[in-house]
Amino acid sequence: MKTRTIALALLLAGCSGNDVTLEQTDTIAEKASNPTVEFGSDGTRYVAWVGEEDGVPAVLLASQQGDAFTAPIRVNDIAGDAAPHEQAPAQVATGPDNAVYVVWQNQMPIEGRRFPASDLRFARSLDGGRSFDPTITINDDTASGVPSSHTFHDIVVAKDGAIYISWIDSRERDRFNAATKSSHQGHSSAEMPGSEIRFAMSTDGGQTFSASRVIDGDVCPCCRTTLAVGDDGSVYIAWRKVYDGDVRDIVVAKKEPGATDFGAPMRVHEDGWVFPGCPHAGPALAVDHNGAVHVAWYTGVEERQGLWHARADAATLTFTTPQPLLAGGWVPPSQVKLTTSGDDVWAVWDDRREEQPKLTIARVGSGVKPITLDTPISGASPAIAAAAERILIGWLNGAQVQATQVVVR
Amino acid sequence: MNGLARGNGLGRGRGNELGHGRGLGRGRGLGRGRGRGRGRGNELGHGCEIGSGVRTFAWRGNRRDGMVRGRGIVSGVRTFFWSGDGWRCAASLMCALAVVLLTACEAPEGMRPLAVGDAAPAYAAPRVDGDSVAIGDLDGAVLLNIWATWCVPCREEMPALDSLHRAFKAEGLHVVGANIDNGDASSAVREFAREHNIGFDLLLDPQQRVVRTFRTAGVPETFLIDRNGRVAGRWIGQFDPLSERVTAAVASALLAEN
Repeated sequence: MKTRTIALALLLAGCSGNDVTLEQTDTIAEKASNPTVEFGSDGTRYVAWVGEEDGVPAVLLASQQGDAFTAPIRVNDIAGDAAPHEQAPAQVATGPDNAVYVVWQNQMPIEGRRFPASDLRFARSLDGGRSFDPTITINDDTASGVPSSHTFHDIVVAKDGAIYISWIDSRERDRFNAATKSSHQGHSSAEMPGSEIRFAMSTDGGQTFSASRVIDGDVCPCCRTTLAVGDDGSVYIAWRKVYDGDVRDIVVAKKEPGATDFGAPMRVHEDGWVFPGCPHAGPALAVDHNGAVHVAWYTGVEERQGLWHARADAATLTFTTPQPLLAGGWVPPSQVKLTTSGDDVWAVWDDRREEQPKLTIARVGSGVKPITLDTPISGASPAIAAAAERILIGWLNGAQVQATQVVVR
Repeated sequence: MNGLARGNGLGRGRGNELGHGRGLGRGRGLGRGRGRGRGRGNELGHGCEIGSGVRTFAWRGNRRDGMVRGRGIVSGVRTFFWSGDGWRCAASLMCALAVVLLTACEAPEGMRPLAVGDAAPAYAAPRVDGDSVAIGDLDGAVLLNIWATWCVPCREEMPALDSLHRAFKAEGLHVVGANIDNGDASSAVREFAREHNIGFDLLLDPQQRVVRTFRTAGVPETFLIDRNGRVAGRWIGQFDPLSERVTAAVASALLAEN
């Protein structure tokens, strides 16, 4: 179900002398939510999203080796076991030997509760995405008897094949609510536990996952988490933390190679965005080949509203002065993603200031290589991945999943 | 200006393209560059470059109608725009080698967030039961609450908004809730209104026009508009609609005179 609706090719000479070609846009699916993208170990391009199959939500995966994307296949083995969510899309990652991993959220309506519960579901393919093993649940509290929310997830695969999944977890809050309700005791909001960041890992290629571990509490409960790995096996996670006074700024934590837990979160910048609401704008994270940690994020504080980028040395996680990607005047919450390609870090973001959102693709590397591709691409909620000299970008245009590729030579 | 920088670039476009953007460079110097463009079809375009140094660009080809606007170099920052209809040439983008810092694509002029005292922009959307409401047509003061069903703080403040509505309705306050859920949220909004006995107008705005019209950054956000159509209050995030501060602002907005 692939069509090429936009015939566009740009050849740009960038500041560094590279030729950068933006290839044609492929329309991969209709009636879909925002996708994620990844390259396989053999260069295959993968796009995953939550769409519909026979009128019920389904996690779908399309792949491309030659000119055309394949017809999407269903990843979830139980019909309807998926739910679309812009901040929590189905996340695709790849491992050694053509392994493909997908993690997604479902939804379970709970009587008497305002919001459905959600579990994190996972399936792996060992044949390049042609078929998937039965789905397993990542969160380890399904036997607790208290349905809860597990969402805003991300997945990353380290060089040694270890799989890491992060998410925002509301089990403690929901247990507290259930306990106070059953004892007919009231409680103040100050007593109620906040949402947590948790992670789990697999060292057997996704066959099993560890018990989850808490990284931090007091997190903004509606902004996605994001993971990245360094070449040395370090794992990084970024999220929006809630500080005193409802300040919601971005932090990064690092898990050293061989360590059990992540270290203390480091604040990327003191934006000081006070927002007792739902930003729905999680950060983006990438580690370049020099080991520098790059973060891109949205802040709504009016003096510096918009998207920003900063980088840090891996050893200290002390971040540079942020540089604007999209700023000046009013900028609504915008989605930004990062990826590493060679010595470069590439970013893609959506600009939602006009009715038809548009994408921008930029190289935001560690050194003095500023370049932005101007792309007349209409769309929102982009995703990005890189392999060798290619940058894969997917996004949502209306209800269509679309994708293109940037080739850097 | 001083210094010297040179750059060149090549752009090629084809088909019908629509886009726009801005270029912002930073640096000092005397720029010289070469550009070549070739295009077919109808193009409305613009480039957005993050860069520094000096950049020049040139158009070559046939232009039938359209417009080029330049904004020169101001304080080392150069911004350029072009737009047009029926362009025969495509963009030629160049970036100089003199590199200083990464800079941003700036917001269009006048796109700052709304502030107290600003004229409230025109806004209309359909009620959940079908007919449309234009807030400028409402006689009295308006409390516009922007919300989503997936937003816990939004839902938490709704009952108090309804109490405020009931307390000030007779004096001319119109509480209006603009729902920005994607897709068809009508059944979810109706269910929510029924569950919480919400008595004020709930509007459906899946295209989120209210976000762009009132230049908000997340939900919930609430605007108080006085009888003269001026923004008299703005609350970012969850607030207490029954607090003394809010009720005093509402009372003042209702008393506003031309």
